Amino acid sequence: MRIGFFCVFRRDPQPYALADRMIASVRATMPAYTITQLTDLTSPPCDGIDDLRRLPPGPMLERRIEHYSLCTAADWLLLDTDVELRADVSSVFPPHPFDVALADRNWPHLPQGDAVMHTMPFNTGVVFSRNPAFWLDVLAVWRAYPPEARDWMSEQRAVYHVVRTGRYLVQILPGQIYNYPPASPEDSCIGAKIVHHKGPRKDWWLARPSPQAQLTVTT
Amino acid sequence: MKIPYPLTAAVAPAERYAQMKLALAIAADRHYGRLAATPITDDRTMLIACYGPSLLTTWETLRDQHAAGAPILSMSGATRFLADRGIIADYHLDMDPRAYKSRHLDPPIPGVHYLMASCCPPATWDLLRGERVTLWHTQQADDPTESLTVDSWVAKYDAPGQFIVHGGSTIGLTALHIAGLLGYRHLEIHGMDGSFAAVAADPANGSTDGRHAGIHFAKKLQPSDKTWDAEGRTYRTSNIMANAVAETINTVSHFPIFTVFHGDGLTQALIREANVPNACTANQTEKADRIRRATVRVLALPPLRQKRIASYWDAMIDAVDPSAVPELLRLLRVAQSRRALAKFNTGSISIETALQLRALSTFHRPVIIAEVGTFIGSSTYALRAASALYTCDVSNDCLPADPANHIIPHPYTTATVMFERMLAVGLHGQVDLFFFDGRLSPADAALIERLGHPRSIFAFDDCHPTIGGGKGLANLRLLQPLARDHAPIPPSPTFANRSTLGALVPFVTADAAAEQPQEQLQCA
Repeated sequence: MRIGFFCVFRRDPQPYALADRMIASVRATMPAYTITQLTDLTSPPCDGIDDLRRLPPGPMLERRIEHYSLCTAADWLLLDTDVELRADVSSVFPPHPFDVALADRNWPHLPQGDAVMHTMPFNTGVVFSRNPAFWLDVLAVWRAYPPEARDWMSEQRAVYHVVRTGRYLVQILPGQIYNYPPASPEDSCIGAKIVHHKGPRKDWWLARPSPQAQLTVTT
Repeated sequence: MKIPYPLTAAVAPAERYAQMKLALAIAADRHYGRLAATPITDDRTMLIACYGPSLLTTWETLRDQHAAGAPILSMSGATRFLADRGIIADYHLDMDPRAYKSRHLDPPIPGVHYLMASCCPPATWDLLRGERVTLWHTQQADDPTESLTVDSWVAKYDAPGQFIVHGGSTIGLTALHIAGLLGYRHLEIHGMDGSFAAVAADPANGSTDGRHAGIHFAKKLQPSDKTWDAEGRTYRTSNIMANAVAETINTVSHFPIFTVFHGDGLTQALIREANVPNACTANQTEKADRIRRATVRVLALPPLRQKRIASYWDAMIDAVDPSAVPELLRLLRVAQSRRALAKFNTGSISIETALQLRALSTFHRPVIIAEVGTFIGSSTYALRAASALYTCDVSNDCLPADPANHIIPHPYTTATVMFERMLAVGLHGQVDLFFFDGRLSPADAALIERLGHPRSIFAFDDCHPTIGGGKGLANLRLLQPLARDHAPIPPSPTFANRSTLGALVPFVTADAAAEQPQEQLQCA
């Protein structure tokens, strides 16, 4: 299994600050796996990665899906930078015959509303991917969207569109365990193997002391 | 603001270029001059007379402004409309390539200086024989016959060094740029409505549908079937007018010009809604008075590589080497490990603030820096001094001296004491950059004045009403009287609440700006 994440620098350093923490959490829970940063031609590598893949610059969502479609020859755990691993989740892969495993949005503490659940019931911040063809299809669907429909959630709508075609074997994981957004800054996230610090939770996460700061480092 | 409708050319490019060739031949024969750039100053105002219906209600104001000495740049039927009322425009501007449009010139008005685009139709030149004419070129599509851009075409056929005016889709918009070439950025704009009159028709003047202030020559009228709501009122407009309105709002928002719009119309309503600092309507009397007295000052900025630059900080960060980001994150991690040494444990700066401080250091290359509020050294290492970085902390001793990075800490030391020590070692007028993350006293301000120089930069953390007890804003207000030639830079809107770094940054002179072509104009 490999870990992949998309991170580019567009004048905002926050994705890099988040990626630092995400990488640290992966190292702490699954130290044996290769971590690959998926990025553009000019963004710098994050500290702690093993591998870097670059594509020419373009719309972020499109590039991200394109990168995912090129994640071949392995089982890939594809993460957003604001995701924190709390446990080794590699066991999701071996015994289960699936093309992709997606986490649902069934978060009792964070009801999503009918519109979200009907158009994008899976959050793509955490994706277990075995079949890159799935992402090629997502890319084709996304590219067919008119420009005004290519908002930042459009990729998740495209994913659901491809899921509904029935062409792929999709395993649905409980979002409470594999893609858990904390309810508050004090939420200890008990039971969650993967915590997703999405939206305002990013600031909550970054406000906490960095685990890496405990290391003895010299300048 | 998005341009709402597709823009279509009135005349095919091949025909325009043929007309330009004729214009150049006539210009050579009659020795017409070319529009040249006059240095812009803030002590004069130009009146722009467009031909919208509101000119009917404001021409007397325009007459008074003209009598007070402001020249008139007029266009379309407005020049004759004004002449009929005894007002002779100083300039008439035209760039319409359609043949029937030249009827507005017939007959020419004595005393008017005609500023004509080279694409104007052939009849123009017959009508203007013997008149004072200056020629200029407008931006347009490529020449399909010779596969030349307009720049290349003009370079090939006209004298070297000619301007191509990127004015906009209408003559009114273009007038704003032509006024700039004539040396004006204070503009009083009449008749630029972008909408039909609420009470249509002034048959006595030949206006039949409220589209213009008077007679207007057109082959086919654009349908008036569009509406646009502004300030709770619905305005009737057309595709072309609506596009021009959007372009107008964008132009006044993005160019260093000061505009006061007269009359009642869609453009004027949207100008009020936009509430940009450099534009208003005449009935916003207090703001109009302020705008009429405003001046442009220039800030040094790095070359802008990206299109969407929303603030000073965006521009500064755009120039930083992206590899600074992981480097700064490493430095912040190292700094966090020093918390164990802190006697007074408090907050530290974010990665966003660290990046902004690095950006200031990268662009301004300070030789000597003074920092108040060392704490764990996050900001100390984000800053970069070529010679020395003096830093003090009244409560802590977390940061060892680092000669390799020119860092000279002053643990358990007040700002006042550190500044006095700096003066004692002869640093009068030598500090290029100050960074304050601790509250300053009036005594400190006096010392800072002696340590700094006219081009010193002052950066303040916690420029926020409540964060950090509002100490950044208090410090900024304390030093602002000492830095009258500095612009206050608010925290980055891009970083929202993730950074509260503000600054006082010195203006540069217009001469200095001219010597540095990479610098960008900023309205202050």
